Amino acid sequence: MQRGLILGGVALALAACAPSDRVRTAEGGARPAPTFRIALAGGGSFDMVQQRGRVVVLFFGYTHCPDVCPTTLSDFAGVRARLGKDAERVRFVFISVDPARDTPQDAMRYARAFDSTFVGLSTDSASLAPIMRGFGVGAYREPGGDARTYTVAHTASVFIVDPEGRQREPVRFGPARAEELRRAIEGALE
Amino acid sequence: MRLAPLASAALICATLSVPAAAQQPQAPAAAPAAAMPLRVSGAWARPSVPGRPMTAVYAVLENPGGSPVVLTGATCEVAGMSHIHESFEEQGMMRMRPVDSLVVPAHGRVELAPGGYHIMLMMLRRSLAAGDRVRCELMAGQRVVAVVDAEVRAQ
Repeated sequence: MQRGLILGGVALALAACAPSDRVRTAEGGARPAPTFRIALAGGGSFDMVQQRGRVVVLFFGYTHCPDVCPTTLSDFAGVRARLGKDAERVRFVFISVDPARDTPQDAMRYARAFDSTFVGLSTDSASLAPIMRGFGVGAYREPGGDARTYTVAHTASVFIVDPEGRQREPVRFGPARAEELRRAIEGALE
Repeated sequence: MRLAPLASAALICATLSVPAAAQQPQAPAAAPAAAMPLRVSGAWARPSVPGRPMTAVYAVLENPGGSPVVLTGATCEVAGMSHIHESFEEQGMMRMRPVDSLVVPAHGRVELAPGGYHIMLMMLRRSLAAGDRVRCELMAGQRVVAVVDAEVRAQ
């Protein structure tokens, strides 16, 4: 019950936060990406500030997601394989929008099921809300289903942060996304 | 005694609106795939993730017949719960909804693909790894109108 309330709180907190693909400043330059630090399952933390010099590829989803999330992480795996040596300079990150069900361990296990180098993160809803707001990500629990089987509506764009910490144009979900992702990541690496 | 189930099956078949050519008085589960109203191709399913007993099955469904086929559900032997579902985008968010009726038009086709229609499998009874197979039956009411034999693979 309490967990459901927590997720409900996230949904309410994000209700006024429309997803946004705007990553340009008024002057037309790429804006700095939001920074955050989330504790890792097994110790340590993932700190965006420490990723400078690498491209960070972020996707917000949930581990009980049967379609869009595994599709996206499979795309990540395929893209990583095609990047060759450049893959060492790219960090693929999955962040759960369903902290009521996803523990940090769940998120990490989920991400690593697709590629052992992927990072899976989950944090409490209070810490998650400003991160989602920063990237313009929305999420809410769909009606129906029980505590095990409910689904979550969420922004499915992939966010790319370049080695200088600037946010590139998000890559929207679509049938050709793997190729679009590869191009976007290679562009951010240049 | 053996006539009773056959008679029941015949009665069920006769009461459903399906193409005339598909109305065979035989038990649905025993019907050969070739006799089904829908043709299935390119069927595949994603491997399940450890600790997450769910996946999705994708395929192309073709209806060579002259009458539309209305899918109302799916049953998959490996899953405790199977639904036809649709992922769709609304106001920048990817959402999912159950699909109570999915029409495969006469002489037409419907694609079950990532990010769109799919058979959602919940409460998997065993984990699924690349190389495994998943068998689902697509239903029009109580009648099986397609058998989906999906290969489990990553992409």
